[in-house]
Amino acid sequence: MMDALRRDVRYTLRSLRQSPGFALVAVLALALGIGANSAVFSVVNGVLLTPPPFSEPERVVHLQGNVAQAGLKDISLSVPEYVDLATLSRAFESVAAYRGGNLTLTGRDTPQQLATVVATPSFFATLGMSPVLGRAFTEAEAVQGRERVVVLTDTAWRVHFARDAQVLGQTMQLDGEPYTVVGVLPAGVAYPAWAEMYVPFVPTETQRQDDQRGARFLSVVGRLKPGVTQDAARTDLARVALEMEEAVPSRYRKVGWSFSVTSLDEKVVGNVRGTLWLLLGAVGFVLLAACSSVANLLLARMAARGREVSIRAALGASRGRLVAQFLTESLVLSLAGGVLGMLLALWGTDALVALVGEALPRASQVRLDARPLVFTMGVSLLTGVLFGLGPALHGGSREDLSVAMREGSRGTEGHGSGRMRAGLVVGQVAVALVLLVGAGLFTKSFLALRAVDAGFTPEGVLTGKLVLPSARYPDAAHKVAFQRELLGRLQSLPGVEAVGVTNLLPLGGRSDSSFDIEGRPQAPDEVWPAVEFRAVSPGYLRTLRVTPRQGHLLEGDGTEGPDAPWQVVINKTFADLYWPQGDALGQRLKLHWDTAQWTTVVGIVDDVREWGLDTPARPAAYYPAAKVPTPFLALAVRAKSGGSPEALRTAIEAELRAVDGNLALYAVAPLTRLVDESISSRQVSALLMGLFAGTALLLAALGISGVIGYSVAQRTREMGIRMALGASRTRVLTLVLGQGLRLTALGVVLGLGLSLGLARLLDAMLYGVAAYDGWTFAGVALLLGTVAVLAAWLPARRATRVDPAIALRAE
Amino acid sequence: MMTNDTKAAASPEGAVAQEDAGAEPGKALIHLDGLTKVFETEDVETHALSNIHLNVRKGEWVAIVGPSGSGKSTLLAVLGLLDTATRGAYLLDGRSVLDLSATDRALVRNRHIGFIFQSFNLIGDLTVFENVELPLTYRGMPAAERKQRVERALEKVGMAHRARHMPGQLSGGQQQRVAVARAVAGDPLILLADEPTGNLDSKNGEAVMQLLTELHKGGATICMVTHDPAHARVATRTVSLFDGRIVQDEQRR
Amino acid sequence: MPSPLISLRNVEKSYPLAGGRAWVLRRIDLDIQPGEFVTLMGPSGAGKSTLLSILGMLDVDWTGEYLLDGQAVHAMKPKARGELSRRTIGFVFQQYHLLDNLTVAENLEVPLSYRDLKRGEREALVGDMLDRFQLVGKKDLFPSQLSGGQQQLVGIARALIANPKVLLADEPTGNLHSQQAKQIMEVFQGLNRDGTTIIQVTHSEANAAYGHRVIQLADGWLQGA
Repeated sequence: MMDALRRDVRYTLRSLRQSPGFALVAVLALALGIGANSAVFSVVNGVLLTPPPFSEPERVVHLQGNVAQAGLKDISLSVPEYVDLATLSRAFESVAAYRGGNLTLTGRDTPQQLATVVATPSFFATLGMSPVLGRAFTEAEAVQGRERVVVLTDTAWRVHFARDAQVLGQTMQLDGEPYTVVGVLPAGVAYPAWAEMYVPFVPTETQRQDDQRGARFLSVVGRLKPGVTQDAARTDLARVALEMEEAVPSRYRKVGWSFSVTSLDEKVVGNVRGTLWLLLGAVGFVLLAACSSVANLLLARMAARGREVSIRAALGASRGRLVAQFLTESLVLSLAGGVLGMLLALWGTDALVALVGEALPRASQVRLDARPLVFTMGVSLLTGVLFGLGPALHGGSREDLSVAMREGSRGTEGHGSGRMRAGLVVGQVAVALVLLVGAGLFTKSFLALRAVDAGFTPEGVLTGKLVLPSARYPDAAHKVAFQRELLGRLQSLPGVEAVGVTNLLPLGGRSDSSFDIEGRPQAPDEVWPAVEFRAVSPGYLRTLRVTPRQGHLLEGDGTEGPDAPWQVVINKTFADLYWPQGDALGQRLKLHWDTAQWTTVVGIVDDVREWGLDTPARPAAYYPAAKVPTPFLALAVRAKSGGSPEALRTAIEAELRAVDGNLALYAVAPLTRLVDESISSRQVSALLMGLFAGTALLLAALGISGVIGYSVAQRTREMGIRMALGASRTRVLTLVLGQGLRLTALGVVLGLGLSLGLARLLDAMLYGVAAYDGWTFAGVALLLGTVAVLAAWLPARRATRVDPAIALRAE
Repeated sequence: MMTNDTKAAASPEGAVAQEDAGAEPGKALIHLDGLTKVFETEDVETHALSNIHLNVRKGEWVAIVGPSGSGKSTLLAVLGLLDTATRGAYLLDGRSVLDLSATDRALVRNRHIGFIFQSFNLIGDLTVFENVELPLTYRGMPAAERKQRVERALEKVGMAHRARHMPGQLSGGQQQRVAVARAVAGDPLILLADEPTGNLDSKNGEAVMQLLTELHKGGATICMVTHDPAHARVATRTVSLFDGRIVQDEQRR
Repeated sequence: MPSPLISLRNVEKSYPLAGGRAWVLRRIDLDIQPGEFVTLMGPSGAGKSTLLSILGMLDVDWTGEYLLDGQAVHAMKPKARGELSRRTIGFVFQQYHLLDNLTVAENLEVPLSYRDLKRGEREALVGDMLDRFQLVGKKDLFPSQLSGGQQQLVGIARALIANPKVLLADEPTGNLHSQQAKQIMEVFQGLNRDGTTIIQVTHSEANAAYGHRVIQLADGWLQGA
């Protein structure tokens, strides 16, 4: 038995060596199917299916506000709103509020920014995270003057303390203040995923005021009481909203005030879920294509070896022995494909995480998963076995042996298996078409986004961020002085054309406010959309080369300080919305901001896509940073034409050190990269779809080539007859190519049908291109047709070289 | 009847001497001179045909006989331009055809040669009509003329009523009659038949021989490979091959 | 009288054809004794090859009775038939039917691999056979590297390696030159002298002369039986 097996393996290896093309294609197809599937499934599994490492994470929900009339959906909450929610609601075991921030760690070689979550003490219990070392901070520490404690994530512990077990009680200089480390979280536990450490949130007296209800900067999470559903929580919060409306009618009445409840999972992965499922679907199609490719190859190969089967059977091989021999071959192939596929999966998972890691939440949770590997290998094995055995079983039946032997050298293929192979090719073409359509649509989306006029010129601009700690920059005067000093120094650097600061760079997120227009009282039931406001230095819009349309950009050089006149530049959308007559210049408006004053519109600029390239511009107002000083500064420096912005980095950092040696510039990047990153997930989708589509196309081409090649081999005699009757080579070529094109046409029709059905699902993920984009569909069909002709061409040429004398003698 | 008076002309000079110019009956339609075909394998060189000299005149019916492996089928393949020779000359209707390009060979086969095979070699996916029509379509003949020719040929072999059938629905004898119709539909210069009765029982075999006899009487030139001495005797001339050489050339009438 | 090795009674084969049946073999009664060298002759299409296929159990779609080595083939299940075939039948084909991707030695080993033999035993048998047919020098060559005569020699060696009682040969010299054909026929003659029963199909009177008895078939009927 072992002996027979050894012999079968030996023959298999040799026969595979003798047809390396077949072996290579089969193994590659299997490996691609197994590898791509396992990699993508591992990512999906890690991101979508693996729960976050909290206790009972399904009970954790995000709580956000909605002001329906203002078109504000899922917005943050203000301190009074959070307090209302915490005291009035009954559905939650605990609620917590937090905001993101950056603290600068000093006292080391260079200052470093740490991504910090400023959270209420209830944060840890609400999410279900407990420290491995020490403790979380307490209510007693969330008090003015006692809040200098910090809880580290595992990452921060590793990076800044080299996992020092004695870390508890040590002091960190953060924004110039000493903080005591009280706890460390376990590895892999962090929320939000970017958090490096946690400090207590202590609301100021001002923030607690009722008139600060519009200052919404808190993210709020809640832990549902056991047994309470999300729907029950919604009902509970609807009641809370109603009570708030009654308590503070001026703010909440008739504006459509409500709370939304979102599961943690949805919040974290909601954005990427569609893309990941899509990839999984695409990769499933690739597996389908790979399996049918292998099936096709095996069918062809086994059929071509009908003669061998007949001879072996005539020499006394039982059906069992024949089956064993061909099973060995199938298994050896599947095994080789599996091993290669496993390597591909290992590499592919890493590559995929590297490629999309930035955009992926829980990327750190992604591991190559054994289950999909086992599953896909199983599928491939089954394919191999199923299609490898059919012919052996069929060929082993003795009834047609005498016929087979007399027919001589060539094997015969039953009509059934021929039709099945043709069907498989049609399916492969259809699958390739579906994937190509997807890739085409995504690519067009991506290109359309790239072509969007962002309203500014990112080329040549370097950006970076910094945060002014409130301890050393307690008031507007300090902050303005810092800006003046820094901007002045940077402006005078050789190689710098323009420089500016803002609170938020384009594509960087939102910071909005409600507002009043002078002489235009808001009707009681009227709510204007919030205006996107930016606090910028006068040079900022020039640095970004935002085009003025009317009036002028902000005046001065930002050094005027608090005494400078109030002025504002608005964007075209804002102007068109409220002053359609074109008389916006000179009007005055006032933000709902504690220090805000009536401000004159001095200029109107082109729309800048502040929220993202795929989001239409909203009303925006650019205020002098000196008037709205914030601790969060983003720097934009334009290099002189021809100069590289990256080359300026060292000089910029040197100037910053000269101004304040305890500040760190972080997130330094050319503006072009920020633009690219804002659409990188679309690029990745397009790239991956393209990759999968390319694979499927390759498999389809191999399939067509294989089927035609095999059919040419099978029809050698027919070709011989035709040539004996005087068919020219062109005739024979046309005949064979026609066969390939017929299969392709069928596959294209089937694929177009499938694509039309599936394209609807893509609609939400597309930009600037319709799901039923005629050009994409036509282009893809044309591409497939061309590939099919090329794929059929090679075997077709072989048909023209049939030697009629030999073909006919082979009887 | 069994006269043995005329040895076939064994040299081109003979052929020229015998013939005068012009397309009258008796002209050498096929002229082979020193034709040799060698197959080579690893350590053996097999002479499938050795130094064949043969002239076939218009209207002749030549039976090519010999044991298995004697080269009969190879000779027929060379005559039909399905195969080329290693050495020697082959003039078909006065024109040298050995060094033609593949395309020209296909053209000559299509216009001037009709094949009848032992295993019929009809194309299974085409109807009887389409099978007979096939060589004519390669000629680029208009559909109306093709139809007329195909019908005439099928009538000639008594298969007109089966025009729409598929080959698989016919018996062997019927398939061979269709194959004969296909061979003659294009009015070829010569008919080449490779064991035309080999796959048939005696009754159907006789019927096919009868058909060939009628074609011969109608003026067709036929070269036929056969195993069967009885069938060879129906022909007007018998060429015997052994180990690739002509060992006997016997002419009747 | 010794019992015949092969005994056919009323064996018939036909297949349906539009409007009736086409007969390939009709009412074949035939006895072949152990040690005979029998030649089946007849025109093409007479049914010779079909009869040989039935004798070799390659063709099982027929009616009648067939006793081989005392066993009723017509009543056997496929598995038992396969077993009997492995033990008693060796086949030689006109087209040799060697496996192209196996060497000469491996081709010889194929029939043995379908029996329960130890590797040593198999190698010994293959070695014997290579010696006997003077193929030792060619044992590692592939069929395509051999002449037709040599290939057929390997075909015969392969047919004999499992020590069958009957050797069935279908036009074994059909693809060979007269010189090679003669050599093959002499091999058959020698085998027959050593006790192997041989049944051959041939067109050649010369080949038939090597046998003891000629059985004529025509249109599916045994002639002069």
